[in-house]
Parts: sequence; structure tokens; C-alpha cells
Amino acid sequence: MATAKEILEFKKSFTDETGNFILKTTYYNDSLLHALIVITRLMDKAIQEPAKTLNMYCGQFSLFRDKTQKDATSAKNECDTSGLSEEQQEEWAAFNPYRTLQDRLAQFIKPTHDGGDGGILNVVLSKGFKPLTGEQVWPLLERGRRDGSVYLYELDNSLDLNHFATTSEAFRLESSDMQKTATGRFCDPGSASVLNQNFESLKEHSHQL
Amino acid sequence: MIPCADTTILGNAQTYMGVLATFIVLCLFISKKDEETSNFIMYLMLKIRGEIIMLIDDHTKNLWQDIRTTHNFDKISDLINSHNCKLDKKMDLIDIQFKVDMQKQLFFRKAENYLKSFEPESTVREKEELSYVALFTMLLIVMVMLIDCTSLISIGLRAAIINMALITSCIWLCVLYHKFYQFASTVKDKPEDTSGHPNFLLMLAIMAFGMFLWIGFSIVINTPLFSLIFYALIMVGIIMIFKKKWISINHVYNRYTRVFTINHFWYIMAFALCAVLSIHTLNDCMPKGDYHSNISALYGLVSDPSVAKYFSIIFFSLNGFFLPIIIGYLYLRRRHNRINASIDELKEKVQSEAESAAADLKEIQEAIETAK
Repeated sequence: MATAKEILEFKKSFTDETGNFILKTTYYNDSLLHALIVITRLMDKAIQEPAKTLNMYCGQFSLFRDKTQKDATSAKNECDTSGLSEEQQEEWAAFNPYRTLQDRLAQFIKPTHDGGDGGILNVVLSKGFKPLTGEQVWPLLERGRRDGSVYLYELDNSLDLNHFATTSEAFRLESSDMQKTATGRFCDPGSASVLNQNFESLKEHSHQL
Repeated sequence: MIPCADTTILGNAQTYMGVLATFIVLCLFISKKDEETSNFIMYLMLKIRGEIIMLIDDHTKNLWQDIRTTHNFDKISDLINSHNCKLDKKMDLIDIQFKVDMQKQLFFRKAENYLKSFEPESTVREKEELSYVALFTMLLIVMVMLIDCTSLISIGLRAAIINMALITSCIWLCVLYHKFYQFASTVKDKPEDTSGHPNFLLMLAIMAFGMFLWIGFSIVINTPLFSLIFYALIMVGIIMIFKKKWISINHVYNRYTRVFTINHFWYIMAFALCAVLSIHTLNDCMPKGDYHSNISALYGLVSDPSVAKYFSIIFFSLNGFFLPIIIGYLYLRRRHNRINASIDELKEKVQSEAESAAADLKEIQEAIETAK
């Protein structure tokens, strides 16, 4: 279990003060909090790229579901907060990765003429996924689908491929869905290209919702 | 007064030929748009193609399960979180985890590419050689039935024309099957030489050369069956030697089209007729002796109505029904085997990389445990 200090450091490790992505090495994460941070940062990265697109292959879109809010709060409370400076303690108190992710998604898919980022979110969900209609995130997705910024697909058959989220250069690649362990890079267009091609194949094995 | 036929060659096989011809008519055309086509051979090929894709998919899934087993590196998480794991070892472990995860994605990517490269439906539909076989067989079946009922000429001569036409057609159909069996990537769309007009004199010279060679051999060979084998060999030799020349002088028909096939049907009929007339004339005019007996035995074989009947039944059964299905299946099967072999090779590569990663992991694990 990562400590609060490690989580805060991880959160800052991607960019410099000016917001440029500086992380060149492979990162590793093994908790829900890490996953929420990384997906938020992937949206930031996608917006800096010409395609402004984030492709996500996920089983249930679980990071965005209501249950994650509770799980994220529990995970945050379980973190060891020893060794935090006063400034970090304040930062930790304000740290709400689930809310940050939801807000980031809202901004990401909002069209530019409405003051948003004008990003595109493509999501491939596993076959027979739990309905999203009752979730907090659903109105956002519904609006995005109407605006042409969100595309949801459902796989026609179950597929045993590890989940991933990728932009043109950055990605998060899950190692274990259960343990929420993953690796990834933020400046590796070659590997991102493999994942993007896989995403296109997954779309071919899916139907649009 | 029109002379009555003593008997027909096909006899009770005529109904069977008629039924076969009805089947063949269904295979004359290929629908390019929808899957529902009256061409049952093409329909069958498309169905076989679909089933082979499912087989490749199943094969890939089985290999995928093997890869998941060999790429199970769950303990990396525990090692990374171990208190004894220093930063450099942690980075090494993360690299191993990243490598094995990417390998799985790469396997999926490449296996998908191999699967996609398996004979797309449009490629199967574009391979029209089997419909040319059907067209050619259809023309021949009608011609054979027509010759059979032409009682103006003797049954022996009719049988000889049918036999020679069928033997020559075998060679032409082999060319079509060969063209069909080639992969799309190795077939050239257009002939090399596309200028000028068909040179009929040159074509006639090539055919006459083949005929001259065969008759020359037939006079000296005392076994009629060998003469026929030589006939086939000479035709094959001429095709191999003059193939480019032949195609270039036929270029206006844009090779391997229906026009090209129909033209070749007439060439073959003309060639068969010339061959029969040649040996018939030689048989009648040659002075008695060894050479005459050789030609006589050959003419006796080719003018045998029973040979013509059973040769026709076998020829039309094979080319009207069985061979197009079998060769169509073998073609897809060959593609299937190639793709399976490529996927197996890919799996071996991915697995050997996993083994190397496992060895690295073991080394790091030992280093961490020693540091305890």
C-alpha cells in the first residue's frame, strides 16, 4: 500500500511546473488512487496532442462509476499519512481523485465553443457490461454522445486482452484488473501506436452503442 | 436420306450429363455484392472461408491462453512493494512487467493482422478461374452431347473427336486450376506485352508444331496409351515454352477472361478435330507395316466409344463438380496452414521472450532475497 506522500509525489511526477509532460520512464501503479490520477493525466496529455483523443478499453468503465467514489475515499483513508509536511497535509485533505477525474472528463469532452477542451473519448466496454444509465457519469456521457465527443462500443464476444487507455503518445496498460496494477509511459508513440491499432481491432469486434 | 445412328456414345449417361450441365450453369457467374449467390461452389467457398477464420480464431485463443500462463508475473507486484527492493531493482521489475504486458498486446496485434490477411471475401470473389472452368466445361458438355447426337458421322470418328477434345481440355483446365491455386499476390493482372493484334499465323504455327511433333512420335511408338501420354506431355511442353508468346499474341482478350476461355474452347475443338483427321487419314492412307499398326492401334483406342463414354463421365464429373470444390477447399486450406504456421511462430517468439523475462525476474528476486 502506497503512502500518502508517495501518492502526492506520483501525482506531480508527470509534469513540470509549466504543465509540460516530463515523465520519460515507465511508471508503475498498483492502486485505485494511482489509476484515477493516471487517467486524469492522460486526458491532460491527450489535449496537448493534435488528435485530442483518448481511447479506453475497459471492462466496466469502473473508474467512473459511483462505487469508485466510495472505494477511492476508503483507499485514501487507509493511506499512511505520516511524514507529510503541513503543505502536503493540506493538499492531501483536498485530494479527491474521483471528483477530479469526473471534472476533468466534463471539461475534456465539452466542445471548444462551450469553453471545453473539445477532446474525443472512445470507450470499448466488455460484452454484457453493467448498464451505465444510473451512474453519475451517464448524463456527461450522454451529452458527449450527442455532441460527437464520446463514442461507446460494446464487444460482441468476451476477449481476454488486458485493459488499456491510450492517447497518441501516452498510455496506461493494466497488468491485473483485480489488483489494479498497471504500467505505462507518457512519451512512447511506438508502444502507443500498437495499443491504438489494437483499439481499432477491438472496435471492429464491437458494436457502437 | 440421313443415315441413322447405329447407337449413341453416351447412351444412358446422357441424363447424368444433363443434370451435371444444370449444376454447372449455376456456377457460370459470381455475384460480387451479397453473399447469397446461386453459384454454389462460390457460396461453399465463402462458407468454408468463414469457418476457417473461426478455426484460426480458436487456434489463436488457445495460444493466447498458453501465453497468459507463461506471462503470469503476479509476483512482480509483491517484489516491488517489498521493503528490501531498492529503487534500481524496482525500475528493473517495472521494466519486466511493462515488457511482458506489451508482448501480450503485440501478440494480439500481430495475430489480428494475420487473421485479417486470410483471404478477404472480396479476394475469394475476384478469383474467377473456377467460373471459367464452369464456362469451359459447360461449352464442352454441350459440344460433346451435340457431337454424340450427330449421326451423320460414324460413331468411331465421333468418339475420337470427343476423346481428343477431352484430352486437350484437361491441359487447358490444368492451366486454369493452376492460376486459381496461385495466391493473389503472385498473379499479374496484365500480360507484359500489350501492343499489336493477335497474330493468328503465329498461333497456327505453334499449334501445327505441336501436332507435327505428336504425330511424329505416334508413328514410332507402338503403345497407343504412351502416344496419348506423349500428346499431353507435348502440350504441356509447348505451354511452358510458348506461354509468354501465346499470351502476348492473345493479349487483346486480356488473359484469363471469359472471352479468352471461349476462344480457347474453339482453338481446342479445332486442334482436336485436326488431330483426329490427321490420324484418321494416316490410318487410311499409310502403307501396311509397323508404322501403320502403331497409328492403327492409336486410332483404335481414341475411336473406342466406351473409352469416350467413360472418359466423358469421369471428365465432366470431376470438372463440373468435384475438382472445383476440392481445389477451392485446398486453396483455402493452404492459406489456413500458412497463417497458422505464422501465428505459431509468433507465439514461439513471444514465449521465448517471456522465458527470458522470467529468468531476469528470478535473478532480481534472488538479489532481493539475499538482501534481506
